Amino acid sequence: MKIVSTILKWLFIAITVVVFVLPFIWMIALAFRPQNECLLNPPSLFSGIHYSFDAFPEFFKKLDFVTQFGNSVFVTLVITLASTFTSVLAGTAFAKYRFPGSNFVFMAFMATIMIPFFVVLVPMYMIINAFKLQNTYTAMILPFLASPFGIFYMRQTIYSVPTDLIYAARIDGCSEYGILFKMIVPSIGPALSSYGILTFMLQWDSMLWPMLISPKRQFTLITVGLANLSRENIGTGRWNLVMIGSLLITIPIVIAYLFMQRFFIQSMTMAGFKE
Amino acid sequence: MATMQHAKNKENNVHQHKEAFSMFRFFNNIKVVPWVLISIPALLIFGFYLYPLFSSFYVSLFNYKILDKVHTFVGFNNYINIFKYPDFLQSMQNTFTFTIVYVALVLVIGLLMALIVNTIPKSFQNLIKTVYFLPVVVSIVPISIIFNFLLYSTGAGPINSYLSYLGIQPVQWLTSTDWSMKSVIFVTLWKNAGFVMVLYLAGLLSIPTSYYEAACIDGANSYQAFWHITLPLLKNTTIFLLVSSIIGAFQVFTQVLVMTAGGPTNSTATLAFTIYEVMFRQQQMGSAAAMGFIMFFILLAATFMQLRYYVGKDSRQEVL
Repeated sequence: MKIVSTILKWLFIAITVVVFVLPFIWMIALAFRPQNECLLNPPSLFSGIHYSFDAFPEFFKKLDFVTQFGNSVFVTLVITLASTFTSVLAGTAFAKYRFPGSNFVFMAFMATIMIPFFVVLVPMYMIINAFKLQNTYTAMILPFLASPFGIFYMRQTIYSVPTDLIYAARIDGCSEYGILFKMIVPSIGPALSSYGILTFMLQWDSMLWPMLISPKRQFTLITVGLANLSRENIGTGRWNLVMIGSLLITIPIVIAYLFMQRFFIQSMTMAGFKE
Repeated sequence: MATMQHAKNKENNVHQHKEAFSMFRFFNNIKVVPWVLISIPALLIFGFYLYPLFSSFYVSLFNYKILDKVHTFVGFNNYINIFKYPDFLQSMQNTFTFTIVYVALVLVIGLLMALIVNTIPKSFQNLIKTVYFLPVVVSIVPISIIFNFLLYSTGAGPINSYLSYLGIQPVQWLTSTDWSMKSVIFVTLWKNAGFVMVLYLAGLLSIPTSYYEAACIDGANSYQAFWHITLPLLKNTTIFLLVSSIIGAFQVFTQVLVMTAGGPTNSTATLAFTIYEVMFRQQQMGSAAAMGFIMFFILLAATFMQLRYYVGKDSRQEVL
């Protein structure tokens, strides 16, 4: 009985590992093969396949990969840094200062956690339209500069900075903003990077908003560009092209993940833990 | 003359300095500082969350096309009309199917994975965890593209090819109405199971082993221990996962767009996808806003529980 369950256990692990890894192997395999070997029946990974870089020049001709990848990096980084910054500002105000209406303002902020993005999509689109900001970085960045979850998380974290230290710094003549940037910010480093990774990963995946507001080739993000390339080629069997795109945007994230796996896992699941 | 000028300058400087100093004093006052700190976040939250919420409701009361100069007020007609619109009803049904099936499966599979990983040696555990979590960090667009190929309808698709070894005929995974939704659910499960597993594993590790020892002494078998110790102690994790999975699943969009574009014959058109179509292709802003509000009301219970999960038991600690 014990042996049977052990065998079943390892069988389960072996199968799931194959299920999770094999799709990535197919992605790599298809990226490096010529057009006529993309849809073999039956498909094969090795026999009769001529692996090469032949499809890469055509891929770069069909997709403004470098531009769109750069757009994605820029937009995602700005959102990540700015959203972390605004969260720290508001988090500090709620955690370390008493002001009239602070509970009300905090609850009003938190209530916005309940608003799904699809509810505010239409007016958001109209606001950006009204300011004629379509196809700009501003349009893609502006709505995500503040996050109610970020404010909540930073408030929780900043609670743990000892208030006595802040008193001491104030008596020594440190200004309030000095306290914020020289004492609070340095002492919440791990929380800043966790929140940064989480925001980066969520924003890197964003699809709907950039597709609606910034569809032009030169201004859009790589997720949108790649999805469009995939839709255009769905019937043509040009799997090598779309797999090159998938591979190129997956590699940087996977490398970063493999080097800092524990940190990634911690950051991306932190929303599930109540501190 | 020169010295007088100089003295006057100096006086001016001192005056300016004093003014700057008092400005600084004002902004450094602990009664003012919090307002300064929340001003920018408050402006952004108001501008991009609260104002759009009310504005969305306002727009939903109009026959609103973005290119029209005049928009006619129609009251709640948009809400009534979308319930007569077959594509919307179909999308509601699809969204409920997706949400219920996906959420149930992802929780069960994630828990099963966590229970099994919990019993293997520690040194191996991290490796397996890394593999399971890999799809969580990869964007949904490349994942959808990979599965477009793997689920290719003829024998040229790897999954059909593997199944043919078991004697199963090729399945039209993404091109038949029977299988398209199941395929989208499968891909979403494949991406997110690792996330659920990691949270459940953390929950399992926080249960003291003494509980199990005590149960063992009392003569409980491992099934009883699971039902009476493990599951109840994973309650908080389960609530969080349940609520956040429901909220996420109800808004599923990207994999639908890349894998099936709502097809074939609307069999995978989710609510989110239909809102996008109505808004972007048909330019019916009023109807799209009304659909957004329907989503908001359906999710209200779940989003409220999510809010409670964060803020509910939180007590305010020492403040300055």
